[in-house]
This record gives sequence, C-alpha cells and structure tokens, in this order.
Amino acid sequence: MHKFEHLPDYWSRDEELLNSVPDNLPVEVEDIVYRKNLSFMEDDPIWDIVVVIPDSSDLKMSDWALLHKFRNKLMDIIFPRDWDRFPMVSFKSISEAKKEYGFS
Amino acid sequence: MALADELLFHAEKLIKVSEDSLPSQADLRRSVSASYYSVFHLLLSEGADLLLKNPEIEAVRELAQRSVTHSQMKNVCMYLAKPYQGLPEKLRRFAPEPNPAEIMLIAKSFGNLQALRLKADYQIKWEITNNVAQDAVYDAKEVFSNWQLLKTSRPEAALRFVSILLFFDRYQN
Repeated sequence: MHKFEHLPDYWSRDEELLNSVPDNLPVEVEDIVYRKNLSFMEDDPIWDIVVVIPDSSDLKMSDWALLHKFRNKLMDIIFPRDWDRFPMVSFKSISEAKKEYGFS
Repeated sequence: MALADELLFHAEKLIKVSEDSLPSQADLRRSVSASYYSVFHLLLSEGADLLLKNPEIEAVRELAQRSVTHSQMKNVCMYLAKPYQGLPEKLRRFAPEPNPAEIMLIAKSFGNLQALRLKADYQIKWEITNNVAQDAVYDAKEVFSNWQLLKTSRPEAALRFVSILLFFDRYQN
C-alpha cells in the first residue's frame, strides 16, 4: 500500500473502509480516503470517496464488474453514516489523486 | 435499436482504444455523457411503457417522458438508494417494501452518472481519464441489467419504481 502521508483539510481515512478491500480485485488498492463535500454544480451534500490505485493500472472493461462490486460495498459502509449525503466513489491513480486533490 | 441501447453502444465505442489512436478528451467526455443519457432514456421509456396503456401513441409517450426533469429524477434516486426504513414517510406508501437491491443499485448508479455527466460536460479543467469513462459505461450497463432483473423478477416493484420516478417529486399531500 502507498498510503499518502499528507491529506489536505477535511480528508480522512478509516480502518473500516481499508479493511473492506477484497482479495480478488483486478488491481491493487493503495489507499482509500474520503471527505464530506458538495457535488459539482448541483451543490448536493455528498460523501466523496477516492480509491487510489497504482499508476500503472491498465484497467479493462471486464475489470469493472469486480471493481463495482467493491464500490457498492464501500457505499454500503459509508451511506448509513449520513443518509442525506450521497456516496460518490471514484478510482484514481496515485498521480491523478496527487494532481486532483493535492494528496502527498 | 432503442435510443437508450444506441447511446450505451455509442458510449462504449467512443472509448475503444485502437492500435493507432487513443480516445481524445472529447471522446471520453461524450462517452460519459452518453452513458448517463442511455440510463436516463432507458428509465423514462420503460416507465412510459409500463404506465401507459397505449404507449404506441408517440405523443403520449413523449408527454410522459418529457414531464420529468433531470433534477427531479436525481432527487427521487437520492431517496431510493436507501433501504425502505430510510425512506421519507410520505414516500413509503408508494415504494416497494423491502426496497429491492436492484432499485437501490439503479438509484446509486443514476446519482453517480448524473454527477459525472455534469463534471464531464462543464468542468473544463478536469482531465478525464479512460478509467472514468469505463466506470461510467459499466455503471450504465449495470442499470440496464438491474432493470431487466427487476422487471422480470419483481414486476410490481418495477411499476412502483417508475411511478415514483415520474410522479413523486411533484406529488402534493
């Protein structure tokens, strides 16, 4: 795992999400972080969950069946923590996560 | 081929990597948008089919399909992504109990796809990747398969679902 040492304000991680990673994913999970946020443009409250994967990941359409099963599991964990906040999960490579969210 | 199927096919075609070319930013953004609209049109067209006695009257179909806005559908999907116990009181009498997994998955995918579609179309500085577009195509495919499953295994729940999608946001009690 390549856990980021520095997360910008409002981002955090917790063991429950990290421990939910199954063994059969087609890609390594480096980190999982989340924050309370607002959706783009519509300003709805959301859970913004980022699953960090290696830069070299070459995902194919067939890989998304398992990735979505995992995504749904993450949603099921986090949604009950605040039912008014819609869970949004995105898969980002390490360099995308650094660039888009400022993790380091 | 129905419009919803065509849009999904188009979304997938746009992100195919060939030997000599990679999808452009425009291809990836259009693919995300097409994934979202495939789901949007699937649910409205199937909803009209289930609810109207004479869906072959084109104008009647259009009236049903055009009576719903994107934000109304999103609002309803925000509710329906939850188990029955988490639904607002005034929605419970219309919703299936328990809320089937297929409906919760469709609702979650719809919320995700709409948010992604807005980003893809309007957040110009966001560099969209092939993974994001693949994720969206797969999300749309999941909606198609969950809808088929719901329609065949729980027809009453499917009818309740599309009725809520089309009417609930404007329901006055």
